[in-house]
Amino acid sequence: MMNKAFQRHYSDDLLVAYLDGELSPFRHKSVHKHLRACWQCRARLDELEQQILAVTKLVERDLFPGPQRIAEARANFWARAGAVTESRVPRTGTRFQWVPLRPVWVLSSLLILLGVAWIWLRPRGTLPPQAVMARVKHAESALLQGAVHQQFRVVAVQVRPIQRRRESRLDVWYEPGRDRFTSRLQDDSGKLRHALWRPAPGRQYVYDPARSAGAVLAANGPPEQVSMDWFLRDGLTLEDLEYNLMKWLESRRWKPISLASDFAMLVDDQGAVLGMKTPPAEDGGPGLRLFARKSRGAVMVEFTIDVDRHTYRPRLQRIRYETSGGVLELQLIPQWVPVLTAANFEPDASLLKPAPLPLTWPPKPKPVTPILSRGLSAALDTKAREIEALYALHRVRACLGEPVEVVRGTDGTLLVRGITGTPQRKQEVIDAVAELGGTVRLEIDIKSTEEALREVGRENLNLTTPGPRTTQTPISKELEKYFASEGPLAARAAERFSEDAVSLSEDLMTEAWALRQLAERFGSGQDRNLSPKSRHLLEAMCLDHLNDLRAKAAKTRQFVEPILSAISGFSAATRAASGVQASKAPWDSALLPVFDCTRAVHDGMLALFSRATGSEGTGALIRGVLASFPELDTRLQGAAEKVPLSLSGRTEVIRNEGGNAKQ
Amino acid sequence: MNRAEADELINSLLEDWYASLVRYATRAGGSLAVAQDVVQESFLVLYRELLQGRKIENPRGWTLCVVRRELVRRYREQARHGGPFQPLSGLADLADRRAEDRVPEWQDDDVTRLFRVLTRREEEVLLLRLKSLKYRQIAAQLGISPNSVKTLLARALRKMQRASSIRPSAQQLQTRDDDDEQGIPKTLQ
Repeated sequence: MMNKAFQRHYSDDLLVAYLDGELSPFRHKSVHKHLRACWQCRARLDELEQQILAVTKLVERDLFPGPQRIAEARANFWARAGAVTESRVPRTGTRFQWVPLRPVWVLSSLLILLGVAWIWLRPRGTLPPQAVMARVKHAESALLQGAVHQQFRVVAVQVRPIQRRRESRLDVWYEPGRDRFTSRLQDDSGKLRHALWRPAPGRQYVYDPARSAGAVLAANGPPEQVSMDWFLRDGLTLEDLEYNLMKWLESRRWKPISLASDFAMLVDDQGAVLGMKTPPAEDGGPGLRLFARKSRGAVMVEFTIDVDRHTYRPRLQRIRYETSGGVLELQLIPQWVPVLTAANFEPDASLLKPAPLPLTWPPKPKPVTPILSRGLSAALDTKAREIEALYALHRVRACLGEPVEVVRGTDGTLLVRGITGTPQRKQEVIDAVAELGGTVRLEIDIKSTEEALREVGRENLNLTTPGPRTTQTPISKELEKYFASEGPLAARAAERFSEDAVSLSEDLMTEAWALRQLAERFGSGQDRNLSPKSRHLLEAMCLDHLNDLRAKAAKTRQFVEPILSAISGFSAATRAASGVQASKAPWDSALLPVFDCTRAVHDGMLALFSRATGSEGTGALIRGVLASFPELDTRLQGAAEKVPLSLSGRTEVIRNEGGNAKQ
Repeated sequence: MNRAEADELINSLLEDWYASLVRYATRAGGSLAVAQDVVQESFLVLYRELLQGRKIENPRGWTLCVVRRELVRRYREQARHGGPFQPLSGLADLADRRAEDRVPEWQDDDVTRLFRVLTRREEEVLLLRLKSLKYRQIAAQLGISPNSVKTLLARALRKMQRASSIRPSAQQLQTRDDDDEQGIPKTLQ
């Protein structure tokens, strides 16, 4: 390049490059041309060449480090070179080098860290509540894998009208492998207030000082579910809230506490709307608050669950109950314990001393209908409990021929005893009775058939059904003729028809017996002074049986009447003359004719389809049976009108077959 | 590259490149023992890479780079472990080196005196050019552009020329006196 200051000479750079032959052909030519014309540049070029020559000579001539050192170096090199191929020589040029910290690097590293932290910790308020809920459930379920020990602080606060605060501690141990469970609720002085133990599947104990002095065996029935609606009533106290917590613990059926799942279930089931907001900063750092609120009248209940914004772990569950009279709060604060500490899954020995076994399971009496138990004498209370027990048995259909009975003890206790078929059925019956409330002591002694046989030492008793009925019945020939179209199977068809008819008839009798037992037990004026609830239960049982009996009678009639009519040519009247009792008669007087009438039907059916040919003519028997159906129907109709009128003083709208409604 | 070729290459480098590298390393590192050690190590690394089949186009430039990095690494290690403080520019500015750090047998020879006025980069460029490397190859080895090579080379020559004119031998002094009368053309900067 031409020097711009003088515009006539080339720089050293270009001249050196010219000497080294490093210029492009065009530039080389122009420099060459210039050198031919310019003395000074040619002289400078010569100087540079001389300099290069001098340096080259100097370097070549230089004796340092000298031939001796070079020879030593060569010997050293080849001595070490053998190891090079086998061992690793430090890679000088590329290995990692720790370099001292420099402010710029520190600063840039900090900036990068801050950026990453911001991405991780940035506010995430955009997720909808349902999505947050799902994450919370997921986070909590991850914590509840395997054996767990959960610890909660339970804080019950009365905000208004008078400030009160109670703290207790709840520990839950759960071991899924052996299905063992323990929960202990202790107040701040260490006193046990409620506990559940499940040392092994099927064996569980509950301790509730309000119910019994010691730990008692707990029933395995369906749990009483706690719902938001439970709170929607006026006048709840702090103790009620705590009682509900215990109920909730029992309803969890030996599973660890999952705040999120329960919260989600409450919200889903009860139709409360799920909302989300940011809790105040003093509630433990950045978090999210999910809440569901429901109100009825002046009562408002709000469930909230606070979760960590980053880990989505629940850190607080709160139930807030507000009425015009006061504000209550129950808080459950999890203290996560990572490992299973020593847990005792067996009940405390001191609590087992009273050992009221077989079990007594009266849950804490809650005034469902407060009028019921107030002001009644102990005897009446026993009777009321008896009806409740009967009703409980009635609900699981244990009153239909199963040998289970409710016996009144001399000391005012009630004993439910009997034998059921299978252990499952036994459990079902026990569960039904065990849920009863009340102050009367209730003992349950239900055995399965196996247990009963073991007790009497006849374990190997053959429990086969009785042998086949006699095949020759008064009507068998006529039936065979009737089923002649079946060909060779006519005899079998006739036999099957007879069996079905007898089976239907026996069903009728079980209902009729149940009615008769009720009538004999509580009729004849024994229903005096019964509480409205007991009357209502009694009425419900009677009406259930009457309705069932009516349905079964209709079914039986439909089954046998066409064939019997075809065989005998006799057609029964649709309805017998009305035989409704005078309205002053007691309710049980309407039930006994029903029983008699049913027995008449049953006897007739047995005579026709089961017994050997008797002296009575077949035609007469058929006529008797067919005539007794309308009679039974009439009695049933009468009883169904009588029972509600007599027991609860109300009239029932009963639809006649003609469609006229009468009150 | 097979073993025989690698051996041959290493032998030729030991013959005509080892001395230059040791001189360079001694000037940059200040100690002959360190210089010999570093150069030896760079040759071993080169040998291993060659045996592993790596293709190295320019072994002279490659070893020079390895030596330079190793010297820098050692310098930093020394600084970190509380050794005597030596600014990095000590590598660049050889003229500032303290006299007692030098090895007596070479400290006053002509080459050392000439090279002492060069910066590290200029010395590297000059060393590689003395081994007949093209500008493009030098630039590739040192990570600079060919134009920079040209400039550095011209500057190195100019500096050496001035240095030789500051402390010339008696004969050179006479010549220089004549030169001074004529003066160096002003255009040549």
